Amino acid sequence: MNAIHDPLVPQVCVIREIITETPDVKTFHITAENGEKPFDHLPGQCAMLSIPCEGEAMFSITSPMDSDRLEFSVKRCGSFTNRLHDAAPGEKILVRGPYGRPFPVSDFENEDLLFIAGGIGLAPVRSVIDSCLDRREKYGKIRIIYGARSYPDLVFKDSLFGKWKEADNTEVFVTVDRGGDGWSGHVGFVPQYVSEVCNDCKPVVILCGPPVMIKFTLAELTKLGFEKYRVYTTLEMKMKCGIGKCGRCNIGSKYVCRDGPVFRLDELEELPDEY
Amino acid sequence: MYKCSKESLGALLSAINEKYALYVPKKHGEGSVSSFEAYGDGENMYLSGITDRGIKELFFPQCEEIARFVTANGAFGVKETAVKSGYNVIFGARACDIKGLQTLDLVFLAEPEDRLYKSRREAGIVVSLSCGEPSETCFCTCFGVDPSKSGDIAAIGTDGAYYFEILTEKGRLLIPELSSVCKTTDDDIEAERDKIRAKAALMPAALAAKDLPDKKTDELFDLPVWDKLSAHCLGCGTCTYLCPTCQCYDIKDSKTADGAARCRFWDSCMYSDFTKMSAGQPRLTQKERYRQRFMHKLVYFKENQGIYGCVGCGRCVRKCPASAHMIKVIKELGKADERHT
Repeated sequence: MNAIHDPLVPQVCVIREIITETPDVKTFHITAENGEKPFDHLPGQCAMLSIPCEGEAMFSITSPMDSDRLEFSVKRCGSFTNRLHDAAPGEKILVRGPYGRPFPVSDFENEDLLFIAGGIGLAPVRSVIDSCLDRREKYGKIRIIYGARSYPDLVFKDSLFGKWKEADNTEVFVTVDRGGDGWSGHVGFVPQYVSEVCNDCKPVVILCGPPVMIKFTLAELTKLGFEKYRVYTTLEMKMKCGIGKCGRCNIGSKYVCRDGPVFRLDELEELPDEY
Repeated sequence: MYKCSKESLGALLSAINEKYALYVPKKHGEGSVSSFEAYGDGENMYLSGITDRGIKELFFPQCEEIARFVTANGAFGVKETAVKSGYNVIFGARACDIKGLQTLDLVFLAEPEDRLYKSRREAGIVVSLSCGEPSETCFCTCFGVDPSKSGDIAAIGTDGAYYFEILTEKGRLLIPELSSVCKTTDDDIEAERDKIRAKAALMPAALAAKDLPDKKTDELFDLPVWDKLSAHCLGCGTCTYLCPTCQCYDIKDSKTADGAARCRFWDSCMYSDFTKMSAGQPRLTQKERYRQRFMHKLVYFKENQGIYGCVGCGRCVRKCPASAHMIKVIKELGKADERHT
């Protein structure tokens, strides 16, 4: 209707496609009303999605930086995500962003990379993996370790067992906490799997998942001798503004929306223990 | 410098009120909540002390609309709420509240600027009134506030007169109104200001800048004394609502005839909902919320902005129903410093 200048005011976009990933995760493909990407983004950045009177919340962008859409993988876990899961393709949605400090993918060039993710934590990591695979020649060996509760809870199965597995110089290690449901692969927790996969290599680590998994994986990585400034993870806090002003996503003097969500392990250790 | 008799103040304010929206401190009888209100007929002005509610709400209202969504009849549009233009005047602001605005500026005027706050800040001509009778709960000098001189125009009351000194370009906008009622004068009022400063130096809260914590964040965060300090906190949020520097806000929608209005509201880090997500709650008890508020004012804000996020207005000291206020925190953290050094 009129030009938007206020970073708090969203633009109207359209849900083009909805992929059911797991029983409680769907991926939403979103463009502007004219079909274009609403805004450019870098891997690890987030955006605010909202529906009038239904809520607004921050989600990581799961599509790679060169994609012509924004994709968001959303787990059904609260009132707004429930409403999103009831949406249909063609429905209008409000979007603002991008927010936050991305993964420094250009610093990763020529490095071997180890991606570690648990559950829905693969959503932000997928953006980094696909952005790196889009420039495959710039990066060294890529290893991906991913775990979920069970086989049906694995997100992005097409990528895990297709595109990523088949990519050059790329290995994918998938594990589930609980076997069965047609799963014949590795069973066990992610932190233990990390030491099996990466005993004698020291790639740059990109880690994302539930807090308990991050905690134990970081302990494992430290034990294996990984250097803190080569380990990256993301933090999660409740957010309202996305621009470091509404005051609620801080951990110590850092605002997760603006100074994060990506933090290096050495930066993380500087923060008070409140995450 | 302009000077008018005490009796002429009403004439001056009426002259300002003819041209500008004018806000003045008012109190409607003993026991009522004093705050800044439209000048109106000039009744119930309250100039003898600091108001219960400060001037923050004139720049950052408790609730304001940021956008409208039109969703009726198949439409789906967004309209950014327009900002109002034109100047207004705030008379009688205290130096602590003005320091509060300067503190809010560091947050709201940092990129990306908050357009609604910025427009009100640019529109507001702030006339301070010297603060000659500090309350027993005041401690503004601890944060470097000069209660005798502040704002776009600094007014100082003496025995029989008011003096007005223009301090900024924006203050010059009121020259026509000042000229219509006041005389220009070369009187030296520094002695009057020194009297006020001397009184301020005796503030009973007896805090000095050296009492403020200057230890590493982790050490202060982990102090056991937070348990004791927060034990009686009710989580009512009164301190945050009255605080001149608290700027946390929530964003929520409400239904309109043809869609929804998106508004922002004051929020409080003292509330459990503040950080509660469907994924979890990082600040589980009132202790964590209490610690967040005071660590933010005294440690995090200073780390980020170079100044403390407190101006020593003393409102939280006067109004906290559990007496779990800033002075206690500063004294305890100060003690912690001594223990460490």
